[in-house]
Amino acid sequence: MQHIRNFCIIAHIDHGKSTLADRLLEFTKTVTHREMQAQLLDDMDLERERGITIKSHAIQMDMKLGGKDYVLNLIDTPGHVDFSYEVSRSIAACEGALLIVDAAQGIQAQTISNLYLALENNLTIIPVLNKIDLPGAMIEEVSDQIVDLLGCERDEIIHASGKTGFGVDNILQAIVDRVPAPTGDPKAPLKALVFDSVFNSFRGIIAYFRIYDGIIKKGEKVKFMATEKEYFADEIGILKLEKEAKSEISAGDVGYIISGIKEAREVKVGDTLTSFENPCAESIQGFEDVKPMVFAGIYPVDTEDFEELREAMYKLQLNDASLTFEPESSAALGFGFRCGFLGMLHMEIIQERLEREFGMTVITTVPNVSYHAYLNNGDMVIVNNPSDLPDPGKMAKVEEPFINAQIITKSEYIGPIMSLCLGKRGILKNQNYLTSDRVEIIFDLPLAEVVFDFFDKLKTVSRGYASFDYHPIGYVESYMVKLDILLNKDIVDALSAVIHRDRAYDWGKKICEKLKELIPQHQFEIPIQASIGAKVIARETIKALRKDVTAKCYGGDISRKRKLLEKQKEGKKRMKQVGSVEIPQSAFMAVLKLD
Amino acid sequence: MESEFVVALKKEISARKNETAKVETIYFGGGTPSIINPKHIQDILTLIYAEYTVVDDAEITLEANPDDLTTEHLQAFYDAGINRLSIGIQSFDDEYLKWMNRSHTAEEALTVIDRATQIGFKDFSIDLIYGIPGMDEKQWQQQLKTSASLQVNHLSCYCLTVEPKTPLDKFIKKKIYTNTDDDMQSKHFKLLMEMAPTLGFEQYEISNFARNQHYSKHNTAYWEYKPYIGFGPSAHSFDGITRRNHASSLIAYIQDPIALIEEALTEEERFNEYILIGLRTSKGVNIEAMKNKFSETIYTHFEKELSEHENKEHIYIQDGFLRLSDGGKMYADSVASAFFLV
Repeated sequence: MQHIRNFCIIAHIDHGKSTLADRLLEFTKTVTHREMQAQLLDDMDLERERGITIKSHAIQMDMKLGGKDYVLNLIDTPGHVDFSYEVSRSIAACEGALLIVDAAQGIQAQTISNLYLALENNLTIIPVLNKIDLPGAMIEEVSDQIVDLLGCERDEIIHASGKTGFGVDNILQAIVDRVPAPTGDPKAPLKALVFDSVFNSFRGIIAYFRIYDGIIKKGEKVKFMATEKEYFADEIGILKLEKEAKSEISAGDVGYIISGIKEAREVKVGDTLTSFENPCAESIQGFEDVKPMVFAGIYPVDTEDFEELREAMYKLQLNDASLTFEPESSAALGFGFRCGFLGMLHMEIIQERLEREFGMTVITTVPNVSYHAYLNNGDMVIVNNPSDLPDPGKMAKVEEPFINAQIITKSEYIGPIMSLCLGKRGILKNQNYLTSDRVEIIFDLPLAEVVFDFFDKLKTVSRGYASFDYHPIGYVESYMVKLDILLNKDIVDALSAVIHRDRAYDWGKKICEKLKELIPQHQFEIPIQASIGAKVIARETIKALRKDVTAKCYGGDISRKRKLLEKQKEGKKRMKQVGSVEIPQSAFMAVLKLD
Repeated sequence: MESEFVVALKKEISARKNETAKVETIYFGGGTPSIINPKHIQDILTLIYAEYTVVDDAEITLEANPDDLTTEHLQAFYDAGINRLSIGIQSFDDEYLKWMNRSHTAEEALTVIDRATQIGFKDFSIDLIYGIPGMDEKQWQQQLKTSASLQVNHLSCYCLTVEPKTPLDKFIKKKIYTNTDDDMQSKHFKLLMEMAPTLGFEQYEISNFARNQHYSKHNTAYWEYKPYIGFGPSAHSFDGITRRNHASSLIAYIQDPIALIEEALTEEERFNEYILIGLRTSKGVNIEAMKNKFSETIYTHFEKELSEHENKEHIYIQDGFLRLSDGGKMYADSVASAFFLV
């Protein structure tokens, strides 16, 4: 066990985590240069396009140092706040962490929150100042920030460049020297932490684990303690560039197990893997059932594609257990699914995957968080869909989820960020100067206000110099109302939203204006109304199309006009007919970008 | 440039002489052919008669601006064999002529027909534009009455259309000009359809009106989906299946007048066009003829669309023809595209 080092990388998006990881793999000859694809660890197309690691992975490196052979397990972590639970489990599987900070950008909020997680888990932190070759690198200043934050010595900070490979040797040396070898008892009953799982269409679920105690043997019967499911370890092994099957894996090491599990939801990240014959007494602490934070309806544009959509959702769930869905119906959209997502990014990814991987054309309804409505008789109703909000007369109160947000920015942006947070019904909790011009601002905010466009707005008002992280802090009573949108006098339930009373007028007005822009003229006038109960609070009108006829249609005009009309008709296929009104797909999403 | 163009045009006319057995109509149009030296018109016609079989009573039309039609030129065009004039009058009101950047005046518009009649021309068509910002119904009514008082047997009335990326479009976007008003334009169109019969004009196509059955034979051929040959830049040709056209560049045309861009239409596309133009005519779409012209799949699609059509009041079937009602004519494009196969 003395030769094993388990470590992860903590970094803000764009601070060069993946590139640096690639250099480590190259240096240790885990991959040859020829095998190297840029940013090897991000192997989903979507991940590479978005420049973020959505799902974590692990890889094992072999290294000789001072005449000794070492095994280094790099456990990669996702870099978005939507996936913070997965990050916490990856961290829990390690003894050390590389804290990578971009020398040109300094410490960011997400770096700090993950760093806190790492410190809570007693990880040894190795600070790495990355991208020192950039012209804008502020080596002294950012080093100060790191020293302030960690209370480390300046000379503990390793200078590196993922781009040139500079400093990679020092990083590897530090991992061996500074990160403690794992401790654990190979003779004790098997106790392993599941920190990730992936879906393979040929082999089913592959679960990644870190063994704390005991040994796992190929073929033995194992048990997942939280799900209480039992399987045979058909194949176990370690993770090199390719999977490498082994007959046994011992305490301290990282590996994978394939046991004929068909669905991602049967394996939960954070669960404890143990032996069926000789189980460990207690499971590893910190397991949580990941709860979706954002809910939205997903509907096929063509109602006939419902079964196809169900099939696609089911397949997505096979490799993404954090996606939840249940059938629902909408008067406007027909049959679809109410889906739960970890966050807005997760929602966008799911929508994109449905379109790209399954060729589905879908409509996503206004996303909402989960509300708690208390009826007069004291019963609590969970509201994941605006249409589930009970009648105001029957309701004693509504509670909405709040989060505690940590924002780190330059002092010059405090003003606009404060106004942004206050405008989102935020409550200022604290404000700390980390250095003379870097400030940490702590707000309590309603989750509903954060999930929409908060992050984009934050980036805008701070010109990108603000980072943001949050965690849920429970439910708070709020004056929430259901805002309905009526098109041609009919409620379009897919456009309904649960919204704070004070924001309803503004929202109603904006959504009416936006819909007027996006819905094409029809041969009749279409009133657009926003209402709370029977009370209309905003109104716009789409004028009737009085004529639709080409003036000149001779020779060449004929094919020009035919092509134009064919194109229009093609576009109509992507519209949803609700009552007598045809609504473009974009209108349902437009509510996300109202101002 | 003019003579180089004519040389190229003649080259093309000769080169394509085998594309048709007989010529029933000849049309000089697209832009303002009236500015060309009448001698060239004469040359071109002589060449066509030499290379092609032209029927005896061929309709030979020249599109012309009123101010190009001096007595001298009219005589030359008449002598060359032009027997029908399509005159771009556009308006009998100087205010709107100016707005449309026309070089002629209302006075010239009024006198040109008399001049041409004296020379011997009998067939006239005039173009009018309605729905211009600021034009009210009364003014439009007056324009129509003025047209009817002239010795013209054909009227083309076009609603002002703002095409994207044109100067007009830019002026409107910059708010230099008022935008067109959909409501007002539809009222003008309605007024036109109501008034035309009272003035002796029959609406035989959405934008075309004829007195005493003086239909444009040439344009009717387009709408009956008959073959045609187009010479010159941007001109389109159609043989019933394939559409061919020249690039719009005059210089490119002069360099190679035979170069054609070909577009073979699929059966679906032909069906779409057939419906599009058929519905625009008062005669309508010949359902029986369509059955023979298109495959069973397409005909089945047509029947299905017909039975499911959303606005039943926009269409009707009479004597085996599918036609637009007056209300349907307002939405001719939507009605047609509802039948489209895409």
